[in-house]
Amino acid sequence: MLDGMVSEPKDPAGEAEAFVQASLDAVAWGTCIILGCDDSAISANETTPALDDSSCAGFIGFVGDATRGSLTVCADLEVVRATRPGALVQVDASPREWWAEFCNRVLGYAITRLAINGYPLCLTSPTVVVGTDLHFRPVERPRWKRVRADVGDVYVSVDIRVLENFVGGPMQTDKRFSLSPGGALLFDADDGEME
Amino acid sequence: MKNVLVVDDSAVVRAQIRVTLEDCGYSVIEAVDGFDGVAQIGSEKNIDLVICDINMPRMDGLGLIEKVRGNADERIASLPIVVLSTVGDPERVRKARRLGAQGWLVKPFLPEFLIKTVAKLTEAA
Repeated sequence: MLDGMVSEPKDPAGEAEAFVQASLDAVAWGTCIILGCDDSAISANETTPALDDSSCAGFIGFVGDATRGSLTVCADLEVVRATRPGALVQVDASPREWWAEFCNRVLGYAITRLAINGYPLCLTSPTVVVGTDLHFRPVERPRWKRVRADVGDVYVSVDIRVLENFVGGPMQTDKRFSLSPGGALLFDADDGEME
Repeated sequence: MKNVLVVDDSAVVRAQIRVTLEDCGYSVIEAVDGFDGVAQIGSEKNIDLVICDINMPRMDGLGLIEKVRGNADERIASLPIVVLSTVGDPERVRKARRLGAQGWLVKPFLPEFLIKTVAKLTEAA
C-alpha cells in the first residue's frame, strides 16, 4: 500500500445489502422497460401485496457465485392480459405463458444491468402460478416495489440469500458487448468488430 | 421460401416470432429447447437460419451453438445462428460470438430489426 492511502474496511453485511438493493432496483427497472414507463412509476411497497382469485404470480430463480435468489412478479390477471404484445393478442397467447415470459424478461434485463455493474448472475426457467387461494409466505421485512403503469399495478420482489463466501463489492467488468432491451448486434467475423 | 428454425422454450416467444416472420414470407419451424433444436437441425435439411434463446432447459443456446459448429456436416456447421434473449450482458454476448453466433438480439425484439437481421443472414446463406 502506498503511504498515505487507507484501505476501506470491508463491510460484508453492508455489501450484501447493497447487492440486494441493487437487485431490487434492477428488477423494478426491468419491469418499467416492459411496461413502457419511467422510474417515476416505481415506489417502495412496505407490505406484501394481497393476492386474490384474479391474481397471477410468476417466479424465477437466479444464482451467482455466492448468492441464491428468486424474483416474484405479480399482478391482476386483467393487467397480465393487457400487457401482452400485439402479436400475442393476435394468437391469443395464454396469460400464464405470457407471464412466464414477462418474468423471464424482467430478470433478464435485471441480470444484464447487474452484470454491467459487476454482479454476474445466471437465471433459471420461470414458473408461473395462476389460481385461487394463493398466499405469500410472511417475511419479517418484505422487499416489494410497485410499478404503476397505465394498465394497472405490477408488484415485484426479490428474495435473496447471500452465502458466507460472498466477497462483496461489484467486480470490474468490461462494458463493451453489453446490450440494452430491444438492442441488436451483428458480429462481423472479418475484423472482430460489430455493426 | 426461406426456412427459419426458432429455438425457444417459451411458446409465446415462438408464436411472436412466427407471426412476425410468416407475415414477411418466411417459413418457421419450432423447437422447444437446444436439445430439440439440434435434433431438428439434424433431421430437417432445408433450414436457412437458426434463431435461438439462451436460457433453456436441457440444452441452452450456447450449448446449441457449440453443437452446431462442431457438426461434421459442413452444411450444418455453417448454418447462420442469431441469439434472441432477454439477457445482453457482455460475458454471454462475447461467448456466443466466440462460439460462432452471427448476432445477438435482446427481447423485446423490434420486428424491423428481426426482419432485417433474418433477411441479411438468409441472403448470405
